[in-house]
Amino acid sequence: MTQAPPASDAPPRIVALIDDDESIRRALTRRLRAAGLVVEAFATAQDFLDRAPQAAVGCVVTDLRMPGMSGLDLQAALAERDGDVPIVFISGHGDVATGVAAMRAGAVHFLAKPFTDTEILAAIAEALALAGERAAARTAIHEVAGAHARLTAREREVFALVAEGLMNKVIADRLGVAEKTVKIHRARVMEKMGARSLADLVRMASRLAAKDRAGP
Amino acid sequence: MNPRLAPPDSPGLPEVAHGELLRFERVLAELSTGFINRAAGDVDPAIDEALRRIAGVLEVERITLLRVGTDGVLFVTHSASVDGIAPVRTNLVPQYPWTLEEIKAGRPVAFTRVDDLPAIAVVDRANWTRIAVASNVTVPIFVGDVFQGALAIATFRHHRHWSAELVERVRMLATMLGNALEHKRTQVELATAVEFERLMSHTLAALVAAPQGAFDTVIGGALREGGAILGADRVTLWQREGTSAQFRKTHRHVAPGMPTPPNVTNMERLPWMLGEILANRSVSAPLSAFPPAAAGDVALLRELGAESIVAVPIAIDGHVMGALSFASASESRGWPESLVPRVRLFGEMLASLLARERAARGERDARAEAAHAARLGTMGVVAASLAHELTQPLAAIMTNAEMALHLVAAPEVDHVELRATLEDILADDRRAGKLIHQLRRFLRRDELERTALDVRALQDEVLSLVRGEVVGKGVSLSSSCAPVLPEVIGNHAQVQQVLLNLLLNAFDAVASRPPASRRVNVGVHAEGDAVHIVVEDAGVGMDAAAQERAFAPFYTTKAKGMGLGLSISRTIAEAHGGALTASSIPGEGSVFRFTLPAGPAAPPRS
Repeated sequence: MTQAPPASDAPPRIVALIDDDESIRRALTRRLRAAGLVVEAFATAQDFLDRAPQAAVGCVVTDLRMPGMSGLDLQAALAERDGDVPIVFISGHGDVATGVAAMRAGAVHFLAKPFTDTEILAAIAEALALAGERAAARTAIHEVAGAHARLTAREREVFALVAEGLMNKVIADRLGVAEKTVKIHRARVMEKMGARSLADLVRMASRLAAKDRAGP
Repeated sequence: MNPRLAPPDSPGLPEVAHGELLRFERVLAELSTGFINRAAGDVDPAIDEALRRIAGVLEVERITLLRVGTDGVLFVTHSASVDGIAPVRTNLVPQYPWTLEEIKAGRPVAFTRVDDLPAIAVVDRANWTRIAVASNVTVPIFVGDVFQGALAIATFRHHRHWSAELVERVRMLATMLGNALEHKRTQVELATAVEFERLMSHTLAALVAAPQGAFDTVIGGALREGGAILGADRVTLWQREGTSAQFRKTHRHVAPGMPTPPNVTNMERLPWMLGEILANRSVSAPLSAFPPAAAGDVALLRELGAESIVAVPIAIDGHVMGALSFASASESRGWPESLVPRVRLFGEMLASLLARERAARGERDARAEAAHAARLGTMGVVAASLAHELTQPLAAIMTNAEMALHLVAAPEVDHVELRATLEDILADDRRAGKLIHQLRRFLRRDELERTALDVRALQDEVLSLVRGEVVGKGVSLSSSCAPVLPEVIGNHAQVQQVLLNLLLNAFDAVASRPPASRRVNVGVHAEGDAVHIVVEDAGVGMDAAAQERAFAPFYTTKAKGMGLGLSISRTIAEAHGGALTASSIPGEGSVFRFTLPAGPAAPPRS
């Protein structure tokens, strides 16, 4: 993950609706728009992957059974693309086993058709909230990574050792410098990272580590 | 003045009419959501309630829902009226011939005064005047393009104006109610049919596996289960003694509390039933619906504890050899219309297997006898496929109906959007109706009739039956049909069944392949003096030995299959003077070729 976070802090909010049935697309688009949502409808999963402005998509509402790429195929394709967009599945009856598989793979909701507007609106609200949280977490990580990049080489060393929970004296011994110097570096690290406490700093370090584990 | 449609309203709708339309639309929207996924048993009370509400909104005195019977007569199924006005009890045909013609042609009939009716409607006018109707609107109900009945709304105390907009909404209401009823009937029939076919396949399997002496136990068990499915209190398998009117019971199941008749019945004591059975016709009705000529039969049957009867002849080569009867002690026990052919199949299956056991005729005949159970296994697949298709329009109706409620609740009603939403509901209602109708046609297939077949239409029907299955299994199905085909004579249901079997087999053959290879193609063309229906799959294929076995009865590669599909399909093809052949390359796929000889002269092979 090397690209910059979205310029605006606004969470992605487009609801992407994917269903091969035109009546369903029309009805749901109409109903969701009336509820104040921004909706874009697609007849196939492939069309969604090709055309949708992915960064702005807050959640995906998709049919399970569709000609060509199925809802589960789409879920897999999105996971492959490093997308963590929340998915709400809607499906005709007799798909219980598939529904279970979808939920196991991280779907937010699984609604059997026909569903009430309360059900679908609640499911979408939950999905968008989750997307917002995920976006906020991403932004936070980007901030931490940016601040971390501005540290000097020595400050980074101190940061890592402080985050491990080592005392100043031990750090000084390890680095072969005076304890007073460590204190100065440590104060700068706290300031540059915007950390208010040691606990803050430890949290940032673990986020950075998680991000590195996730890989580029 | 044209009595069919009230004159168009002036652009500025009067406030009153406007408010009424809105109230009506709100009720329509609420009703649309209310009828979705309603259990079959709850539909009738919901319709009564709907009619009462509509009567209130429109300030009319009577609303009646009618259904067309097999004889073309409209009979009342639901009628709601205000105090002082009697609900309708009689049928519509003799009194209102002109109106019936109009609505059958799809045109609503509306009048504010009886005098608005045209001169030709003289009989209708006289009858409405006689019962003191002030104004009336009657709209037709179509389900899947088939005329199903009508909705009639009458006022007695004031002359009501029926605007074109209002009539349009009444039609919408009628379509909705019609679909709800049809859906209910279909649910009931489908459940019974699936259960019954499961019973047939189990019985057949049990009989084939049973040692010869155990036949009686298996048949007794089958009668008991059949009785349970149909809600019958007494089930009897009868054997006719030669060509006499004596019928001797071979097997019987009697529920506790139900009288047990003598083991031999002289059917001359049931003259009307005897006539029907010997004419190879079935009887399926509550005793109260028996014709006057059957008075003697009714008296005797009542004595034996029956209030409702299904009796089917068991005929072999057109000769009535016996009968299978189901009796219920409850008059309200309704027998679904699609049931009779299944009960006949069941009876013939039991009778021929019994005959086989008695004569110890051996394996060769088992195949011909098993052919009676032609639909085993495919029924459930088709039903599931269509049921899935049905959820699409239902889901769209649900969402749109709630949208309409949302719209009418707004302080400023968006009429354009509201109308568009209601129109979408109507369109999906029609679509659902078409699917339901298709399903019912499939359930009611006639067993015997041979007609000129439109193979192209037949292919289209089968493709729509399996559409849900195609999508569900991720099969890429292509089809083609020659523009001109010679005439073929045959049994629509059986030919459909063969194509269905071949397609379902092909889907199974490609199921284990990667998605891109799940290709199945069906093509229809004429070649030589025959119509060829060719089903090709890119599936696993069969080696020479497997090809040999594929058509043998009870051979199957499927965990759940009966192994009868191809065996029966070939029997059907040969009975039509045609053939069913297979060629296959292991690992590459198979081709099944079903040929039907062209021309009306094609003789059925006996």
